[in-house]
Amino acid sequence: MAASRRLYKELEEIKKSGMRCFRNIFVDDANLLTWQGLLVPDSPPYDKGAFKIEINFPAEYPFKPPKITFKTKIYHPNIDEKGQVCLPIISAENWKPATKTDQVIQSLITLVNEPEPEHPLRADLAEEFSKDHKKFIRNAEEHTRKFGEKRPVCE
Amino acid sequence: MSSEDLEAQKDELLALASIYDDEEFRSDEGAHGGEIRVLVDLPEDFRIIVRDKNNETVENGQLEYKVSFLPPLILNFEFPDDYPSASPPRYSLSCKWLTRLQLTAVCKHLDELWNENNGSVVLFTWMQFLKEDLLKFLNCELPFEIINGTKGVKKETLDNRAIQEVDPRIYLLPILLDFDQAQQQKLFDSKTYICGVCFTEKIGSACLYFKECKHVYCKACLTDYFRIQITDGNVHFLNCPEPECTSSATPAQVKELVEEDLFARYDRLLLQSSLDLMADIVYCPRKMCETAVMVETSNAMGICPRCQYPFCISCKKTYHGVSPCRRTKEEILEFCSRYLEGSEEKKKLLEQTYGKREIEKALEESCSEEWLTKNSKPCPRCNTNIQKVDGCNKMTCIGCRNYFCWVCLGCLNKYRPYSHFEDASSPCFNQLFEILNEDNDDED
Repeated sequence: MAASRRLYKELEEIKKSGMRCFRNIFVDDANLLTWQGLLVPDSPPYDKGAFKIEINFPAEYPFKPPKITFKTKIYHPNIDEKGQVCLPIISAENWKPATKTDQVIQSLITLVNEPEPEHPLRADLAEEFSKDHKKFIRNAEEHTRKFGEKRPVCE
Repeated sequence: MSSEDLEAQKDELLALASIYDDEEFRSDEGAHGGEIRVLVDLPEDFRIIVRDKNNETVENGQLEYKVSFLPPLILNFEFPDDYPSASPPRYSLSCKWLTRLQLTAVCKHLDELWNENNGSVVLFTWMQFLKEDLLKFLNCELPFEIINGTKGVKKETLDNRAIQEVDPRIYLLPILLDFDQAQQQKLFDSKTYICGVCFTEKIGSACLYFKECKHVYCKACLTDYFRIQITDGNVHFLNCPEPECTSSATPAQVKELVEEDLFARYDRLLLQSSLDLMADIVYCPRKMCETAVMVETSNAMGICPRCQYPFCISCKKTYHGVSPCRRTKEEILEFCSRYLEGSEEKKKLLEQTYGKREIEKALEESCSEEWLTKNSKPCPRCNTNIQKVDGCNKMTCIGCRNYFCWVCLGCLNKYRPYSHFEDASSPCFNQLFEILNEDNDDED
């Protein structure tokens, strides 16, 4: 299957280059279409924890885009309660087959580090982010400490 | 003939055959001569401008063209018995893009090189000169002027060995551009590239590049990609797979890659989606025809230019003047259920009355109509039926690229489509991911 061949190469490359912001990658050898990993943001308020995400690749990958879901709850204007995230780079109308998964993850980590309140999925958080930033940071930090995963120890 | 000369001739031909490939150098079977084809080295930004013999450019628009290759200079040579000890090789020099006057000067220089070299073999020196130093020798300035034919020069001053190998009546430019294109393709075909989609190294002949951006992919990947895009109806987006790159495949490239029926679909959809954006185009309702028909919106009747069928624009049946359109969708549905629920006899009776084919058509229509109303919503701009598979409620129409809201079916602002879900005063505030009940009915 073409999708698995390419995913195998991408996975090898990512593991070799070692992404600082995406760790503990787990992929079942029998099914390369599902990746799990730990997203490790480095900007406050999300630098107090880490977030499990799942990347699902369709069988038609790379001709159709992957989907990303947060498995760990996150207090973020662009990620809803179900863990869904609207990332332009993997939307059906923007997707390009030469886009690599590490670019997708980079784009995701940028969105997590720098929320975009002008395109929110959770308008309440976006409003808090823009109008009472201090409160937002406080709430997000607390939420991160409460629900976030442990950050991996840096090597 | 001295044996030394013969030996030197043989050695020279052998040496040249080992340095150059078949394209560049070929010796005759008798080993007394041969043919040399020299591709002149051109600088990076080499440009040409082509004039006919009256010193006029034929095209009015673009004058200068960038080329990487010009057709070869051809040197046909023959060794006299006393070469190289006493006489030079006999030769003729021909070329498509140098005038006889220019070639005469080149011949003269070749003779000089022989004189400097007197007594030893000279072909390699000549080839080197033609390949590397010719443009400098001709005082080439950019753009390089190429003239077809020689005018106002006395025949006697021209060297008989110099031939401009092209009919002076024809226009040279297309020949030169074709050669350049073919040569570049040859070069491309022989190199290897890493396909940006499957990340596998492939030989150029199995690859394709986009004309504008020059990004290279293997044909196998592009074929799969285009197949999926065409099957999904995204015919406006057979673009370079590189992120943010907007160069698109030429129809010829698409044709080369995908099967005939898929290409036909691509061609048809491309035309159709362009026509759909024009409000004054409807399609001839005859299933066998379906020609695009221009109509005036003030007029209730359309006439197909191909089959001459006059039809009512709203019900698509034969034009019925002032009487109202017959049989609405509901009527068809009702008719179908009457048929489906009827007894065998009743069915027979209906078939006899309306014709079996009419009934089958109505059934088919009602089925797809039913499916469409259940699973899709029309784009508020172009009316294309859109099915939502997943993702958020900010929809992009595959037909006209319009953004619309799946919840209220309103068109969204092109630049700030999400504002619809962010504005507290909007009816769809905070409903970007709201799943509507109707979608869930038959899933799960």
